[in-house]
Amino acid sequence: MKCDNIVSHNYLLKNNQTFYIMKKYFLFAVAAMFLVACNNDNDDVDTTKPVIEIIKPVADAGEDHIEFHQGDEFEFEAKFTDNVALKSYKVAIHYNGDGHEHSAVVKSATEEDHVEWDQEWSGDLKEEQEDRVAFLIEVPENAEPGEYHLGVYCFDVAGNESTTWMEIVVEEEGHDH
Amino acid sequence: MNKNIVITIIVLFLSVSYVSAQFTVQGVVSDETGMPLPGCHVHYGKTCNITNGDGAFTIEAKALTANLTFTFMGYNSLDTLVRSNSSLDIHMIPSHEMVQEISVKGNRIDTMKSRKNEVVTAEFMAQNLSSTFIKSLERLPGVNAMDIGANASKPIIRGMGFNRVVVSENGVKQEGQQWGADHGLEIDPFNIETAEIVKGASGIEYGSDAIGGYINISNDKVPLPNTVSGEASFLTKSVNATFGASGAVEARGDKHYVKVRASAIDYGDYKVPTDQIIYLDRIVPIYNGRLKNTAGKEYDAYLQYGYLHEAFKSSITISNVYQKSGFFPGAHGVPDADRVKHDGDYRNIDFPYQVANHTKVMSNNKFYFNSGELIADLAYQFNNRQELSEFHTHYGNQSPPEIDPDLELAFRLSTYTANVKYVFKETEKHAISIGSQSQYRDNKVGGYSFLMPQYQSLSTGLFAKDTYTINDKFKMNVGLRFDYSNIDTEAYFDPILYDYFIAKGSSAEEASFYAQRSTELHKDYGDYSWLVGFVYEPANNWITRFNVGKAFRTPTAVELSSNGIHHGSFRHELGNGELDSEKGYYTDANLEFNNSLWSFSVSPYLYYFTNFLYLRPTGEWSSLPHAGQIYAYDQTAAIVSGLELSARRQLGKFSADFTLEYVYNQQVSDDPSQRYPLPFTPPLNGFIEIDYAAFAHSKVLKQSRFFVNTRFASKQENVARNEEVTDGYFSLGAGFSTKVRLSNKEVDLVLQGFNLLDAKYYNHMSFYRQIEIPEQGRNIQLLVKVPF
Repeated sequence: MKCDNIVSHNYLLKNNQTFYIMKKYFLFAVAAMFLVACNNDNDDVDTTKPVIEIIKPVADAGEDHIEFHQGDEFEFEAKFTDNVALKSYKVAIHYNGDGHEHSAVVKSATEEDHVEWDQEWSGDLKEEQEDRVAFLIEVPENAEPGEYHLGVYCFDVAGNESTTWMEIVVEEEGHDH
Repeated sequence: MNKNIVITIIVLFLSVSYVSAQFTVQGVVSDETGMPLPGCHVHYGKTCNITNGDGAFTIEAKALTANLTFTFMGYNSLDTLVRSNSSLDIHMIPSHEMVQEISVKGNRIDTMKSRKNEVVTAEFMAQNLSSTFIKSLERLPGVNAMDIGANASKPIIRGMGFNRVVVSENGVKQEGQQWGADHGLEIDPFNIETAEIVKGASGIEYGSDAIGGYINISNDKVPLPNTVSGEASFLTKSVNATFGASGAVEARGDKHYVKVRASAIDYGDYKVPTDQIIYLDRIVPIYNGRLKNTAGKEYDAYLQYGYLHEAFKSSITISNVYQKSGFFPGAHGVPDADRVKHDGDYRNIDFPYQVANHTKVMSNNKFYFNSGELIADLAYQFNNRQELSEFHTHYGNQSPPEIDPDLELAFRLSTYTANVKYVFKETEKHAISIGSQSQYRDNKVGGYSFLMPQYQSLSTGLFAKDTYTINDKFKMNVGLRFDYSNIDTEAYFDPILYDYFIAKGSSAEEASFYAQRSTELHKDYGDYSWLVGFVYEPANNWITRFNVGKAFRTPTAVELSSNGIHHGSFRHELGNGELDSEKGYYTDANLEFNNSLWSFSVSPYLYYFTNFLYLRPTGEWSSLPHAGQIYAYDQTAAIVSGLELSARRQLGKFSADFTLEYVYNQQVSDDPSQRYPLPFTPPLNGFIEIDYAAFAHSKVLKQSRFFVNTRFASKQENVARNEEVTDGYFSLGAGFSTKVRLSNKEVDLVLQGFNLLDAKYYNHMSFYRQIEIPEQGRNIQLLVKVPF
């Protein structure tokens, strides 16, 4: 920049024609970019997650978990729905170690033949809007007593995934509440 | 780094010796309002003088004519030719559209760059100081913050974040764990002298990762000669009972100067306007409206020593940022009401929490030559981020480590940087610079969990750029850069995981797949980036810009080689060693009008990525505990487009500001059902503020203003698979800021309120969004800055 440009001015638009030409040039660029951006309809894209409803087991009113004893057998049933088509489900039971006092070290204080119950079931669902899965779950005789998570997972044909959890508590055989 | 030496030698040959004095040039440099500009650089030949406290300078010319160049951050540089003893009166003109707080009059725009930039100053930071530096920038259109908790955020520019945005300090790229969702930038929010924000691909000069944009913090202002001065800042916030203080002292003799700053911030659990969150169908109570374990603290220290010589300027900076902050325990693991119970203390930091410590040593050097200036920056950074969580495991056969039993994850990244640039003196037609940037990174990991591999990476970029002045109204920018980089990741096989799967009855093959947490890879990447841009000034106060270019970035170690649950996202993420470097072609434009009453700017852009790197849900279940399906890193063609608008109107004592951002993106596919949006895309969002300049005649209160503002966003329904739709929101703010004149010093006071209606809303880009935690509740904060 040269020194003679230094003085500061507040120009107002004197020339409407310049403005018009420039507007045209610029609007063209804007329009071109927006044509690309807006010429997309993603109505065909499915980002809606399937819905999982655990029908059995159900906790008693006011309770946030269900209790079972070692060796018990209970019915599991879930209903899956999706806006397009279902694909696959998974049911998993894991010992709840997260954030609790239970850890590998603490656990060794209980009976040695107890193991953390860790089991999974998975399978395909009908590629339809609704399907159900039901089977029997057996609590192992040697399951470590304590709190477990029963997780139910499901994804649809597009890969949209849902998860839901419930807590189940395993009591020692003969231990009554 | 042979080429750096070669460049240095070439440059040394370009300098010539001087002849004896011929005449003297004196002068005063002032800004557009006539106020003297101390600290302005006056370049003459290979010397650089700095104006004193009154904006004055004196130069002994050593030839028949003297070509002086005046430069000052935020102002257009200015050339003048002097032939005899003379006294000059120089008026500098602001080069950038400063954000309106700074009440710039007659503001002009940078006509050199074809890419619009915005400059924020320490004053902007004081006026807009939010929880983090990046959060404070959110009022700029096109800039969003991705947050985790109260004190960590990283930038998203034009809907791109993580490794697609470069943040640097004094030209040195800040290295942390940008790839991680729960990582924030380790930067002292009190220590920002000026920052430049460039939206859009800026890879040519700033490194190939700058696909979305670039933020450079400049902390290299030189104190006035023979002065000692300082400043103390105090900050308090109601939302999480923050107490922050920062003190800075700077001193300069003639040639030596020192700047020191120390900051401390301590905050408690923050308030959220809800008493429960519902996540994964479970009700998680929020006790007393405070989000448990989101307290934290930060201690930062900064020391800079500089030396000014006629032929060079050199500084060395040592800084350390320490941040410790808790994670909401409901965010780690399956939601559990037990873990979120109030523990009787809102200021304690319990498990799980993170500690990040960033140490940096920088040497910034500038050498002046007749033909231009050589800039050489060297730096070493050590980023040590640790996540601590009371030892827990999903694998019954894992026992806690003997040392640091609660250290879940540790990332220790060492980065060495060497940047060299030669800026040739501007001629009437050309402004050329050439340079190289090299970086070596070495990442070590630790902890009883595993997330990412250890790796070493070396990258080097060479660039050249020119601004060609075609005529008064028309300029062209061209740039070309070549980058070469390699990355070596280390393998990690987890025997505990292997035994766990074998015990469960899995095959050896399946057990090995899960136990191989990372693979050994040696990858080489090399590619060009280029830019052609135009700046056209059709009329006074009008400017248009247009750019076309290509950008790319190399995949990260995580994208290439990780395998396992990312405990933050709860996803089993699988790296892909076959990824190419991410390439994108882009075009953007900008139209700007500025005068003292009005300003507006429109910036549309469009990127086409031939292979955008993303996580693809595979439709295969993972057998890892608590994992759903496996997400694999993959590449897809994609477009990213959008528009940024901003406008300002001055009306007597009132001024109004308006910004709006719209981003649209999607994967490109022949199959319409595969055209998914990309994750973390900001919704249509904007900011409106109305200001009233008060007490114009007061002798005590200066630059006082009242303001009312709102941030708003529409519902974001364009979500990637397994990303939540986020409702729109409207958040109200207001405040008062002033400068209190006390015996020649001005004390800054900024009182402001955020989310005054205590509205419950979600930020689509927040890490806590995924677990349904709303944004912070009503916050009243006070910032006081006392100079001494």
